[in-house]
Amino acid sequence: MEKLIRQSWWKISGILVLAGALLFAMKTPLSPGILSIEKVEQAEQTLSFELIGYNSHFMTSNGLQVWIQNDAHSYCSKDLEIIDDSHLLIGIDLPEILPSNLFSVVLNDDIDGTLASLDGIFIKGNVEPSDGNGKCYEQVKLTEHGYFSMPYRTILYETIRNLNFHVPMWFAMIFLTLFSFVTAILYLVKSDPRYDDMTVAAIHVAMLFAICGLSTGALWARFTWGAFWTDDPQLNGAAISTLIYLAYFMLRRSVNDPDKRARLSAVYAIFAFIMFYVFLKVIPSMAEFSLHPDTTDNPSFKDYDIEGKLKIVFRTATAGWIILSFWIFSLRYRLLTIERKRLDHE
Amino acid sequence: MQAIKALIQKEFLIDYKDRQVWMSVFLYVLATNYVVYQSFHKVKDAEVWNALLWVIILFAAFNVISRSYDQERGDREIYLYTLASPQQVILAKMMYHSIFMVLVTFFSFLIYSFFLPFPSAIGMDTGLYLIGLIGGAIGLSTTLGLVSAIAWKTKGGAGMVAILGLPIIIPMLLAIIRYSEGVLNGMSWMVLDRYAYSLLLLIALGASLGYMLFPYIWKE
Repeated sequence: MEKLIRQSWWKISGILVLAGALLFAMKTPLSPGILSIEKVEQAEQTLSFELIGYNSHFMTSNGLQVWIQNDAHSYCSKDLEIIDDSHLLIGIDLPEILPSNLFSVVLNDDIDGTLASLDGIFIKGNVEPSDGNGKCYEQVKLTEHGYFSMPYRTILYETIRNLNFHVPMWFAMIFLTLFSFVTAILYLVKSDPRYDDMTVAAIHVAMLFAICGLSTGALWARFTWGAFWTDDPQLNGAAISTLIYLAYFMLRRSVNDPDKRARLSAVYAIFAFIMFYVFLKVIPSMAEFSLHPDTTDNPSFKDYDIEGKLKIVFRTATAGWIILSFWIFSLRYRLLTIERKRLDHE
Repeated sequence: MQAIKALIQKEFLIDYKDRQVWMSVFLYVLATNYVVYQSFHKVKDAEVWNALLWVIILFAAFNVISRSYDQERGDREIYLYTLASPQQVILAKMMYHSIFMVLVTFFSFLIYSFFLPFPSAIGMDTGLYLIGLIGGAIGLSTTLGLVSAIAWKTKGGAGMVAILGLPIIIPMLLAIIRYSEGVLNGMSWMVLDRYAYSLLLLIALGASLGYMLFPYIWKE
């Protein structure tokens, strides 16, 4: 342990891994997508609208096709005017009787692949369900865009990059509290003050990462859910763990004898850790619904990422953040060791 | 077992001889209930009714348990070392306070529903609600048992129990409030069992952690 702390190979590789992953997470463009459909106008049998794309390449791409679609029915664009890379003006001829009122807009070109709008457009007219007229572009093959990118999702948009900051910060915090739990047990078993120093240092740095995780999470929540703080089981857990470890420092301040202080705070750290992590496991499953992915019925990031590109970046970033947190911990620990030596000397 | 029984008897006798603890707790419950009644007058919502009752019980529990080591100062503390093992001491404390808290909880429930009528709904099982009261009382006293032992050894006093105990008690409080809310809304045991089991899990954990960790704190 002492030896490992002094070595620098893992610090350098950790920083390189983290920097690489974060550079990748910030520099990789988002996938193209349809941002919105605007200025929808319907006159007689024609429909016209403006399509706004995101990160799309309408100017440089070839074979641009746009159609509206409902199940088996699709109607192709008659007029297609390219304004710039992300704006299109589209006119479509409609039949007299529609199969349905609600259509989604689909776009295909050779750079962006196939994009579909999630919202869809509402078309007025007489409706009579029918079997369908098949695809209007016979040759169209549904494709993915050809280059490497981050997934494009409505609501999330560019904030999906925060996945590589917010979540690994909490992982680092959990890693450090787990570490402090182990060192607290070791202190009670061996009564070696070094383990007490380790516990304190680990909890200190865990609090730092909790603050980072809370603030990145609050910003992310503001953009996606509309508020900095929501009533969510995960937020509950974050608040309780912060309170527990603040109480831990309070406890340390209220005992003068160093030996007794170490013993009492180790007992509290063990007790609080177990009660809290049981709670984390038990209560979110008790909650009816959580806004956080992967906890209840909410769709998770796994569904967003079919090819696992995001997963690789995320895992690398997590490893980097955890190594960074351990490095900060080791610095704090060494500082405490020096202080203890000085006290012993005096 | 014999020693635990004797220790519980000892706790009871000490509290009986000097009834100040009992008096203060029951007075506390009476006074808070009256304050709550004066500030609310009527509680229509079953959820608010339930949450208020548990908040009263929670603070009564802090009141009871933060005094649990008051007797154990100075000479008596040293004498206790010669009589029993730490495991016996903590288990006896937890059991005695569980019994005491069950009484306080029922008393609190009675006074509370005297002032603010019990919101009984159709199809509601009152027995399940009473079981919830017992479970909650035992849960509060086992979880706070170790915390008050830690606070006993610091110079923080009763305030320390609240600081150390509140964050730890939240999970248990949530489980018990959700459970009793469910009972008030007429849910059946089939829906509520997960809350009851998580409460049981937390009680078991609190008691066994107290059993394992108390030996490290009780002697200077």
